[in-house]
Amino acid sequence: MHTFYRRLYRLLLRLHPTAFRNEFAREMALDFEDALYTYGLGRLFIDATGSLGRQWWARILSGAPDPISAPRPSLLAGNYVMVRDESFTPLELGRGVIASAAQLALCLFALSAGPDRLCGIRPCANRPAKARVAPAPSLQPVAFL
Amino acid sequence: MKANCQKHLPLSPATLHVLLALAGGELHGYGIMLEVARQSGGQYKIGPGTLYDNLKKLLSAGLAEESQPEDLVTGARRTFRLTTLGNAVLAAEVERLSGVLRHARRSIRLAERGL
Repeated sequence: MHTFYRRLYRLLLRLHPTAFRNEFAREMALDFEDALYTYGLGRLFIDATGSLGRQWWARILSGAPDPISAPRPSLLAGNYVMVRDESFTPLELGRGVIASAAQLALCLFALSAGPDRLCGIRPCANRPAKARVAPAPSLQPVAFL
Repeated sequence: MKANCQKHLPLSPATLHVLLALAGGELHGYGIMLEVARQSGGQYKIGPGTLYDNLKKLLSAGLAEESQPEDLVTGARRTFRLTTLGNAVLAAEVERLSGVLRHARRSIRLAERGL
């Protein structure tokens, strides 16, 4: 059973910001092992959850770029291509959320409305199908006098 | 040095306890947790999250430093110790708290005489 809690705790550690995780996660995992029986699981998990919130909050407030965004050599040689090397500001994040929500709403509206309503053509259900389409003018032979 | 100390005051309870634990000598993370619990008679315990959150701040402020890096071969744990600035900040905080205690005792005495 404790294996499950260990995994869960490591998952919590993995959710921490990269800089903090790289520096302290290993030590925290070791301390969790040591403190497991003396401190109690509940206290340790509440503590780790609080730490998670505090670290992300500090990370957002500081606005420092995460080290993971720095170019790193890959295992297969060469470099990863990084699109953005800076963290997003709260204003940019807010704009992104609004733009994403607007696009999602537009897609949902389009899916629910169907192609006919979107094009402005409303089929009339009362009329017979023949009446909807105007008959093509028949070609009459023209008599030349 | 004093001006440098003042900008760190007042310390949070967790930071004060971590500094107090490190004042006794080099300790690794779990050692600090045990020392904090011992100093407070088991009334105040900090978990790894709180500990490393505070250690991160202390390291970046130069109040504590790593005295021994982690050794994966021998399994030796990473240890921390106080810096000179850390000692000075701890002394300044203890002095500040002594003043608060003096004032509190005087106020309580006065209140008891008034009753």
